[in-house]
Amino acid sequence: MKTLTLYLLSGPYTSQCTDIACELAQKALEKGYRVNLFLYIDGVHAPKKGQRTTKFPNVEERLKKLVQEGLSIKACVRCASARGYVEGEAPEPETDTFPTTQYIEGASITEIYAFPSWIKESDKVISLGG
Amino acid sequence: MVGFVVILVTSAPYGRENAYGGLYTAIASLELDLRTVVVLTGDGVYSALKDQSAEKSLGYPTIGDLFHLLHSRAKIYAESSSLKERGLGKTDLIEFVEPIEDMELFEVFVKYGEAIITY
Repeated sequence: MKTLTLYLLSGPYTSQCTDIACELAQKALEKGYRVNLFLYIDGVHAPKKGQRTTKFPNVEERLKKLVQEGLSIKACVRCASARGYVEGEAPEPETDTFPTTQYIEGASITEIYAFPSWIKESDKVISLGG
Repeated sequence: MVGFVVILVTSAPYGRENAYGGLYTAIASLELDLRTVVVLTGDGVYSALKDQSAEKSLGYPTIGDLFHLLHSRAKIYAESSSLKERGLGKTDLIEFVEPIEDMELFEVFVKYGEAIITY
C-alpha cells in the first residue's frame, strides 16, 4: 500500500488549504492509499470540536468522516500547546500523545518527530499553507 | 520511501512563525536520519542575516541560533538572486550559509527534493 503524507500549516477558513488537504486525502483514500495528515503552526486548529460554519464547508465534519475512512491525524505539540489545546504537561505513556479534550476522535497531539517519521514511511509528501 | 527532504523557507523571520517552523522541522528530520537541505529564498533569506538580536528587540528567540544547531549536519543555502534583490551578499550572512545560483538550486531540488516542504 502506498502512503501519502499531507502537511498543513494554515488554519481553516482563512484560506482554501484545509479544504484542499481534505480533498486530496479523500481522493487518495479512495485510490487505496494510506493517508496521514500532520498539522503544524495554525494547521493545528483544523480538528477542533464545535466548529459551526454558516457558508463554508465544515472542516470538523469533513475530518471526522475522513478519519472513519482511515485518515490518520497528528498535530505538533509545540504549536498545539501555544494555541491552548494541550491539557497536561507530559505525554500519555500508552500512546505517547499529549492530552486534549478539544480535538475530534482520531486526531492526536504528538512531538514534531512524528512528522519526519511519517515522511520516511511515505511515497509522496505534499505541504500546504506554507 | 522518502530519504531526503528539502526545507524551503520563503517567509521572513519574526513577522510569521513559518521560518522557525521550517528550521525546527529540519532539526527533527536530522534527528530521524533524514538527509536534510535547507533553502532560503525570497524573504526567507533574511533568516540568515548575522548579528540578529531578537530577544532584546522583540522578545522572540533569535532564529540564527537554530542555524547553529543545523549546520554541521545539513547544507544551508540562500538563493543568490533573492539576496541581490534585497541588497544582500555573502558577507551579510551567518558564515556557514552558502549563496546558491538558480541553476545549482535546481540541481539541489532534482537531487534532494523527494519531499519539498515550504514555509
